[in-house]
Amino acid sequence: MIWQARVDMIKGAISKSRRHFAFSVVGLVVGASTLAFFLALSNGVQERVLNRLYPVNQVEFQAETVGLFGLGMEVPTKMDVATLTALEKLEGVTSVYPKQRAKFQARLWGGADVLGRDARVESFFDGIEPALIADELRQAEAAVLGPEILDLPCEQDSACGIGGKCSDGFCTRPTWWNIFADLGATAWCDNDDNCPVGMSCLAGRCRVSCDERCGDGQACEAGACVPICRNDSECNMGAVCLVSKGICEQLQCRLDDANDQLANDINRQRGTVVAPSLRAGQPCPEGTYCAAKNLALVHGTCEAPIPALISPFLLEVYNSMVATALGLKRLGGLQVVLGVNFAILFGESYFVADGPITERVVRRAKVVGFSPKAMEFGVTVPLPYVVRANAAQRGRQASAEYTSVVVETRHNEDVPMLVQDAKVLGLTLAPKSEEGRKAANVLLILTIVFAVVSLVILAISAINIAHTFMMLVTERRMEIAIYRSVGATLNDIRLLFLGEAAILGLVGGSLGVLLAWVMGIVVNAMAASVFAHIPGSPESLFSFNLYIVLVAVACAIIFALAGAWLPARSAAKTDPAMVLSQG
Amino acid sequence: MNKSLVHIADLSKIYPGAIESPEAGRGTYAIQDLNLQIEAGEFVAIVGRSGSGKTTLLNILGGLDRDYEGQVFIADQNLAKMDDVELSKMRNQTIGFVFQAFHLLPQLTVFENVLLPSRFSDYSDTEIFQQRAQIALARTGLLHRASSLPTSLSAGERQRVAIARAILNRPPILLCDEPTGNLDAETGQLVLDLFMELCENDGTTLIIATHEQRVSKAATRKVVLEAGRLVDDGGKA
Ligand SMILES: Nc1ncnc2c1ncn2[C@@H]1O[C@H](COP(=O)(O)OP(=O)(O)OP(=O)(O)O)[C@@H](O)[C@H]1O
Ligand SMILES: [Mg+2]
Repeated sequence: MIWQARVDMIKGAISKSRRHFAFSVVGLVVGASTLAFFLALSNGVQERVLNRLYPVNQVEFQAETVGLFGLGMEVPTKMDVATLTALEKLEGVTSVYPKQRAKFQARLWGGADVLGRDARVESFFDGIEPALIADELRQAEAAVLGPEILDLPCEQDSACGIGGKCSDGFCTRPTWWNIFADLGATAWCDNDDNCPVGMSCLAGRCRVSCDERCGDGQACEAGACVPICRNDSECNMGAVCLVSKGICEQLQCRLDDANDQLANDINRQRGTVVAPSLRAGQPCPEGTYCAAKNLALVHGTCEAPIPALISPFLLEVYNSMVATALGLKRLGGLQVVLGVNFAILFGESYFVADGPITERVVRRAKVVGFSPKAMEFGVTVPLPYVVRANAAQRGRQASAEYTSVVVETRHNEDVPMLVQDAKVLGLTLAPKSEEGRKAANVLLILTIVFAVVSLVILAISAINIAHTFMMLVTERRMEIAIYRSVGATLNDIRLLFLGEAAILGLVGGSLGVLLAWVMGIVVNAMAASVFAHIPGSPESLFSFNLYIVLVAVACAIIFALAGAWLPARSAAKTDPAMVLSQG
Repeated sequence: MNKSLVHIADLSKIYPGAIESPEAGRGTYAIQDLNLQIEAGEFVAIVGRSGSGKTTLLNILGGLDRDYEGQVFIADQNLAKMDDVELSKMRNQTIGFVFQAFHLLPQLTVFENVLLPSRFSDYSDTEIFQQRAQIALARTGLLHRASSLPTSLSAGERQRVAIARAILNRPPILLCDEPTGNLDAETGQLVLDLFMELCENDGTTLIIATHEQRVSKAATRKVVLEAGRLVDDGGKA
């Protein structure tokens, strides 16, 4: 029997029994749609919610807190360079990025350019290794600002608009991601304990002593390692190249008044350069300000603002709640925040008494990007800034211990093993990663539960199909016998019924997927009003893909075939001789 | 082996669950120790009282009933040694069935009913089958009713459609179980003429179980069954 004939017969049989079948299909539709609905929901929640909150292939560890026997105290084990080295060697680990949180109080204010007026908030700081997020920042930036290299041929920078650069004959737009780096800052100190590990307090500043052997591109000057240069562009932003010596020197500056540190006027912040003499009398170079040792002093060095990252989540929280509550302007998009300047007041807090004025330090900062890896309620800056600040404020020991470590793994499946291994090193999952793992587990369990429910529905419809087909086989005994008398094989008869069932499964499964899709739209629409006020809520909770469609349709077909299996066998067993001679 | 077209040796058949019925003067056998040979081109009438085993014999010959003892060869092939696919192919290609109750499919048109055997054949040249169906319908005089449904036809017309279906694949053997049983004398004669024409013109071997004198007289040979036994094989030694 050729396939075309089979298909024709199956079609004919279905259209003849369409009433019976309509009922059977309903069961399949319900089962398949439930299955597709929950698979798509689970997939959507995984992709749009979990993966956004908890990046894949990445977990964050923190030092485990251990109970001290009898003392009723919990003391965290320490996470230092040795721990990081051990972590790097674990199975599946591709990179290890330590983070250090600021261990002192701070407050920040600013943002008048975009918010309408200055906001003042208690702030927390996290230091993160810039390398951890360079790629991600670059991609996020390109997504918001467009390609870095514009399709615009040029000969000089001026042809490329504000901030644009002409490189290799094409304009490039200004980039931000590359600014997220240690731009250099003067670390003031009174003694070695104010400096991070590896640095000493030399002439009131933390420096690498020449005893330690200076690195490549460094020279020894007055007992400290300093960067070598041929021109200014090779030095940090607030430094100049002393061409005679071939080394960079930070510009020394002075403010008219110590309170100018808190001024909004950038010209007052810039102060006047006092050394080296070739720049004396000028204000600090454009893009820098005069950073004094503390709020009581007028002398300082020219420094670039600290590059800072914020979490996109923070922006959403701000827009959905803070702006309304405080009567501030809503922010249109992430790009609006780029370049926003603000000030950080180290040593101040709303919660505890401010430190003495000589321990309070004002530093400028600038938003240069946004990343889900940035801390949600706070500001994330390059790690060296936090290390220096922790050393200055809390001593060397505090600057040597990391608060947490972000570990990237080759596969997401490596994570559970890694968590076990890290335990040995005294590391536990950070609350957020732990939460992510729990959420993922809950999602998995819910998905399984609902998949099982869907399969039960399909199984019930398979029983219904078995019933319907049994009845049809009895009804169609004569037809079967006639087919047999003109040459149908047993297989032809079986396949006729199984084919009908497969078509039912295909139709039921496809309608089911369609129904699930429509239900998804309806649920999204209903959820939209609820979610409107929740920051970070996704546009759609559902994510359909080919795999889900295939699974749902395949399940419908498989269950329809299972239901028709015995009836098809019994159809083939029909005794044609008996049926035909009964007339 | 050079056997007859149909060769039956020591054929016996007991229906499962059949009980002895002494009043019918026979044992539990529906067919008992039957030997019979039929040559190509013969027109054989099988006669015998009701229950004598005619239908049973035809079902066995057509491979619809495989539960028997003894041996049955059709065109030199032992039916017992054929599997379902081969037997089905034989029913499709070598044998045509005509039943007392016509057994047309009510949901199909006359033309589609005639084409039915083509669905189960191994090749797909629909054009050839369409032509053949037209020829078959033309021979049975029903081409003008090709697109009607069987329910709109008279009994005699339905039986002619059934015959057209049986000859679609031009089988060398037609097995007919009381083909005129449901027809009146006049239409019965029409059908009988058709059979004779098939036998004479096409050399089709006809094996017709019948109660009717008219049919058995028209036959070239009359085989008599009585309680499952062959009592007269039609004068052939
Ligand atoms: N399916 C069956 N199960 C049990 N016994 C059967 C079955 N079919 C037929 N028989 C018995 O086998 C015997 C032969 O029956 P068969 O139908 O072959 O006779 P027949 O010559 O065709 O009769 P009729 O002229 O009435 O059609 C009868 O005794 C009948 O009762
Ligand atoms: Mg009979």
